[in-house]
Amino acid sequence: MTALHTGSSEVAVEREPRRRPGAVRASRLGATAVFIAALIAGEILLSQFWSSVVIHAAATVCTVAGLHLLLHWSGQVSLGHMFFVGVGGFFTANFALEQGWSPPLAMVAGSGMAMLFSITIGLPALRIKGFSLAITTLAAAVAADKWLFKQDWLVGGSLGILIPERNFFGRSPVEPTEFMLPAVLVATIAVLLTAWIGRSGLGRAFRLVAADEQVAKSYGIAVGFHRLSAFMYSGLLAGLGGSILVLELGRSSAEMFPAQESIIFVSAVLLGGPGRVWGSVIAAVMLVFVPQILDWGHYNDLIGAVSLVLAVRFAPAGINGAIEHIQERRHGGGHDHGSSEVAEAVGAET
Amino acid sequence: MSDLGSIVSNGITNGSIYALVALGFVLIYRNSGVFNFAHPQIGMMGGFVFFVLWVEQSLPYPLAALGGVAVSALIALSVRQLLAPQEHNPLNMLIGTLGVSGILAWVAFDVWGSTPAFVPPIGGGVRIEFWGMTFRGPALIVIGVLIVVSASLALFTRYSSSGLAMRAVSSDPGASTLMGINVGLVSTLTWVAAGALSGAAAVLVAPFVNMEPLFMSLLFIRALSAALLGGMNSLTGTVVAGISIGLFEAAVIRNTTTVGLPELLLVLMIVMTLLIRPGSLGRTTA
Repeated sequence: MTALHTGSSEVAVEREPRRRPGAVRASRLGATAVFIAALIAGEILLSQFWSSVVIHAAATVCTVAGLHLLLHWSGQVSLGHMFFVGVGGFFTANFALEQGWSPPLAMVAGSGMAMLFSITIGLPALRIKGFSLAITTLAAAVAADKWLFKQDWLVGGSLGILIPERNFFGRSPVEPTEFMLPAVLVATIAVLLTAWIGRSGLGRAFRLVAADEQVAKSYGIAVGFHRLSAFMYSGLLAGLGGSILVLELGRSSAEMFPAQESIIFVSAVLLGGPGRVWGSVIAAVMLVFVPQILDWGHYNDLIGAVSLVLAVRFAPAGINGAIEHIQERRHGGGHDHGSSEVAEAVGAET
Repeated sequence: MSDLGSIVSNGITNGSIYALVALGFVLIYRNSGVFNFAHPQIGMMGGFVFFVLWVEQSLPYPLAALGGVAVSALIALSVRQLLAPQEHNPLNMLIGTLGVSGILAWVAFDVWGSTPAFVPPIGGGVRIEFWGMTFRGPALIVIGVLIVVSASLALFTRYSSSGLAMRAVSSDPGASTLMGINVGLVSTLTWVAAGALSGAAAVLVAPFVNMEPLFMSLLFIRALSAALLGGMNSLTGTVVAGISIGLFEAAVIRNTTTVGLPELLLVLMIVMTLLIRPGSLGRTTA
């Protein structure tokens, strides 16, 4: 029954990121570099088109960071993350219009709603695991798309909701080029927070619960609490992604969050590979940017699908695996390769 | 035709199609734990080949149907051979089959476009009526094929040596290898059978739907639900669950016009069933 579940944790065991001294500093440096590069790129281009691509990437990165925690660290598969993205987006639009809240406040409140909605899946997930959970999340996303996202009180009918003012930093109305800074900032914070959780005791507890529930229990880790909180955290970040999309567009519409596009998030997380969150972040940015930069027009979708297959066939460990491979060659062999997830987590807990 | 009668006959027909799609999916899953996301698109390609052969080239129906099923089986075979090195890793297989699904959808859009194709019903004149239910030609073929397929699958897995090998591999691949069973060959056979089933489902459902490249994906969620409720490894459970979902859906659609309510109730039903009986509806045959 739980082949998928055990599969993911096995991979996690194999591919535990080695916590070298300096890794923390390197990742912080990397984050800053990415942030600055994005800003410079934005300032240079300053075009409506590219800034909306950057904002789209920021929203995807937010969602993917949360899904990385859920799938790789907590070992729970969600194929329907667009559910939470949509809830975050629609509630943000509602709070901004109906309540007249300022965009940052609406954003936080909307993401909070997505977190609450994630409980509806997170609670059954305490008993439904592996493949059954994967299919249940997919079915829930389809139901949300077909029913919840068609309710007038939430999505504002066929016209959608127009957000009256999108006031950030006292400037209004906000062009996509101006909204880029807050969007990239939010995404960077989300990724740094996720990376920090991954290094903290909480992250080790997630991984131990995923690797072996019995061992986790015997070390006094609340299994249910950790599984549920992983779901809520990923719901929160997905909602944040949705609110970024809605605020960028300045309106919400019923067709914005199709269930089947949840697959993009799963692809990014699986292409990133188990281990650090950075692999998935890079994959997410690539999935958004590459089709825009290299515009193959008619062949875009085909090349995307073919590269997915080739990536799985020839680089199954994902981007993280490729990075580790390069690092190993540079540092001369990975002698601590066999470090087990359980041992590491237990060692950290004692 | 009474109201209840039409609900039951529609439900059984749709449910049989869900069951056919779900059977192939479950075959692969219980053999290797792989979630074959390309399953609906593999069938879709066969469905379109059938459309070309029967409607455009006006070949005889059995020949065209066989051609469609064969193409689906062939595609499934090549997908399995392509992704075989990752077969032990269900997550990688998930994304690999996802990529394949994207490729097949692209090819279908490129060749046949998004304008719906129309397949005339076969045997439209035939109709059977009893207990207020009416079954017309296409529906009778669907139900007949489901009965034949599930009966032969049951006999095959229970009595033939290859079927026993399949069951052995699904319960313990390691021990099966030691006993001299060619695990790779069994897996290949499973994929071919599953591909053929998906193709057959596409051919049979063609008269009921507008054939555009994503027509099988719409069925796939229902089929997945059937597989899930059936316990993911029981063929009998899958068939029972597929028909139950068909009946449930037909009853809901008859009684409401609220958009999306069938989907919502379906999810609630899945979650409730899994919470009450995490095992399955069907008896597990591992």
